[in-house]
Amino acid sequence: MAFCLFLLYKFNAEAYRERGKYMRAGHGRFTSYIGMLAVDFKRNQAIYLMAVPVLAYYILFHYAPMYGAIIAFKDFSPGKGIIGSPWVGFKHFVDFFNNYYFWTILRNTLLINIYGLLWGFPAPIIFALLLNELRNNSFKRTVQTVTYLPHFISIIVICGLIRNFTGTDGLINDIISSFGGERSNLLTRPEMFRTVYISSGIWQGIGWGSIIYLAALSCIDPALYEAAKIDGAGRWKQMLNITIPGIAPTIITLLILRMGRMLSLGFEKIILLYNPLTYDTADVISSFVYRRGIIDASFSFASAVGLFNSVINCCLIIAANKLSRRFSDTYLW
Amino acid sequence: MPKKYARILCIVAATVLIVINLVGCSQPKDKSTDGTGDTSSENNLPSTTATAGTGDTSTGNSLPIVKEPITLKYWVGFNGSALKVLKNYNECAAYQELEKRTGIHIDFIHPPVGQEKEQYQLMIASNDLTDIIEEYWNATYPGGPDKAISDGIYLKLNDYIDKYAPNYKKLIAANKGVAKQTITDAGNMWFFGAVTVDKTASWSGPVFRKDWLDELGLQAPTTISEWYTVLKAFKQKGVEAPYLLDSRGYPDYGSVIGAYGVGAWFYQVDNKVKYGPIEQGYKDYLTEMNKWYKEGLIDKDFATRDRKAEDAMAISGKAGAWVGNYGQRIDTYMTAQKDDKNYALVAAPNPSLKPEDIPHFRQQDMPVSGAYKAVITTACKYPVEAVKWMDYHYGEEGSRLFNWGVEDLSYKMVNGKPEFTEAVTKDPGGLPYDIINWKYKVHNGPYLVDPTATPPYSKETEIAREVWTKAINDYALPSTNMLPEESSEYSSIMSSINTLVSQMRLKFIIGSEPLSKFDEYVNQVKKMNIERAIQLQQAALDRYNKK
Repeated sequence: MAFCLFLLYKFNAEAYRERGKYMRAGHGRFTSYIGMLAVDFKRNQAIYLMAVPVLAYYILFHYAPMYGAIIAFKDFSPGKGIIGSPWVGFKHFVDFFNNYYFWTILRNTLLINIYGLLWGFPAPIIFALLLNELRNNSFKRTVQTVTYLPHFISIIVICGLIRNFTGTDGLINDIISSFGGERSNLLTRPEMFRTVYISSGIWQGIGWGSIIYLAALSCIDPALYEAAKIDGAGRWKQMLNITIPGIAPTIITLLILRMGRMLSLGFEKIILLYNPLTYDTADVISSFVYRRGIIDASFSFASAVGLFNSVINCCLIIAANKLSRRFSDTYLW
Repeated sequence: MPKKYARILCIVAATVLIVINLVGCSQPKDKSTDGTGDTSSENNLPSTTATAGTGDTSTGNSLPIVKEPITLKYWVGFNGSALKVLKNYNECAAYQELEKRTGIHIDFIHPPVGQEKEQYQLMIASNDLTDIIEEYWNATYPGGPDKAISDGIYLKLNDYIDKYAPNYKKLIAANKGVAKQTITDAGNMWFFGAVTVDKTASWSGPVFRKDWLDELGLQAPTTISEWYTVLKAFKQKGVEAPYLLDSRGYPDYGSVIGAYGVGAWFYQVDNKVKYGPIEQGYKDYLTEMNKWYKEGLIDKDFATRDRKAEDAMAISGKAGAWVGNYGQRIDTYMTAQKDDKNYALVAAPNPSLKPEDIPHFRQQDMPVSGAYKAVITTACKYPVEAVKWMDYHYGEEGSRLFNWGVEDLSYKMVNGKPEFTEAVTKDPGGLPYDIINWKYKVHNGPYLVDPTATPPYSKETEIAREVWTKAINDYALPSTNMLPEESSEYSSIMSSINTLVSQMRLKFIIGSEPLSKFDEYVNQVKKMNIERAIQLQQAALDRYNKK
């Protein structure tokens, strides 16, 4: 949400800087922003009209509700409504930061996201690259279909499967014991939680995530490959020098967007898989707030935490974009 | 494909997509449907001549309540047991008969089962209130009922009950227990509750495999050390998980943990509030559980086991002991068990440490249930009629309707006392009483409950009721209320403490934390300001006792 506001400012500022080109074209007498918009509108009416529903959607569902975020600074009570509830300033934020578990849940959220990034982000890329090397088309298509399917399975079913497989007499323990290891319920061991969470996420998302990379791969000019073959490059060198640089813009764009979700972690999968024994590593910001909400319908507290999340995420994505701007020529803005 | 057809196909596809989206956006009003209710035809009852038109005039308002039919919207959680026979409470014979008698039509609005609290909060936050709301276990107004009245959501019922609810008024005046639970500390009356005036037997407690006990020559255990002996014998017999411990680490209603003189949460001794998890008795409980776990007497995966898995283990013979209520964990298992002819269950009393001790905790129904509280909101345009309608639930005719159903359909009068017919006790579809009763009567709800309104008990249940009621419940906290300012402070203290306590309880039992660290953990809880939380609970208890 804060990110949207920031983008809006940036976008308008740049457009305003370029108003000059409208003057030089000879159209319009105004140097103001409105004038520039009016000129552009006359030129491209259809396009602006097409954008109206999209704009309306964003205004109605994303910008207008931002006003509700002020309940993070109030003691919201449904009976009094947003305006009638009293102001309490930063009380909820202080409450959150002073909480005994604050550092634990912050650390867990960041760690799960960072490990997810480290392992989960390259996985679809590697998978797409591997698929790309396949020659047998029907095998390739079968593999793609089979790997897409887990994406469509509901998270509840997935977690039921996970609980079953990680049980003391479940499938995974059968495999472990056949290798001579000791059986244990994986979901009761805090050190295993991240592994279970991230690997099941990879398994579910690898097929679907590879679609966009496969699309990018198909955009690479085959002439480059031919030229490389003539120069004597083997498959591996081709991949290093052509394929990967070819999809680099896609990778970087997706990476920047991913940075904007570093502090968010949907609580559904967490609360389905965790239990008090794994709170040390499994309890994240969203699940903690969810439990807090059960004792007392803390709308204000949840909003405060949400606002905190958004602000941090916004900073992260701006930083990622700035870095990307300096070190590569792919950037979002 | 010719261009014309392609265009038409596109338009049709787009329309279908839009329609699907809009359908998905509709309000989840009656989304509790999951049952194969073939009940519509059977429930079109001929109008009974017995009571239509004649009033319950001895005490109570005259029927019908209104001359012109009106409709009231009633938000109530749908009971999971009723899913198989009803889609909506309007299909229940009792409510249909009630509509005929009172002339008021009720529009039932049910949240999806399991989402009562979320849907309740959505309704309150969006101010889209129904006329009557029935609060469910944790679907209650944040900040308490006094705040609900001062915020202008709930109607303050004192004057309405005084003038238009003679039956309910009589109940409150005649029973101090009921009065204490229906009037808040601020003196507000705000709900119509599920009132049980007569004492009921306990319906939850420990259960053991009787056939194994007989085989090993043992009696149902009464003390903790007897439990240990029995469970060890089960283990030696080859049972995988002799004791199914609840995933929280302690059973319901203070069974087993009560043997050590502490509760799992807040409790009181001589009106002084204590917090179980920091007491010495709690450490003794954890030590014993840890010992049992190490020796394999407790289900190894108890922390992640859900109810369905527990049921499967109990029925298939992988477990030998558990704690629960007789409906779900004795009768249901007995009927589901098909292979083992010797399968038999017996109830054991709540254990104590020494044979002569009596545990201070057991399951006990309160005069007014903690759930099923019907409130009338300020959005109701007919508060007087709504109050009169609710009051009918507490008169003789009305409560008979809710407890027993419709005469000649679900019950018959035998020697002046009602008895269930075969439609309820021996349902042709094979459904147990727990489920089939919803077709005709209302098992749980705001009315005057007759505890004798059950089918004849099975032998095991009779034993269970007798054995479980032996303990007393004097250490339990009554249902007290906190003041709104106190409750937000209380919740912010308790949310961290609850996380720590539930974590450490499991860790101590499993052994990943040694019990030598117990004092360290108690100090941590004290640092988290448990004393203040105990103070707040004490203040609430004192106010309750003064009433």
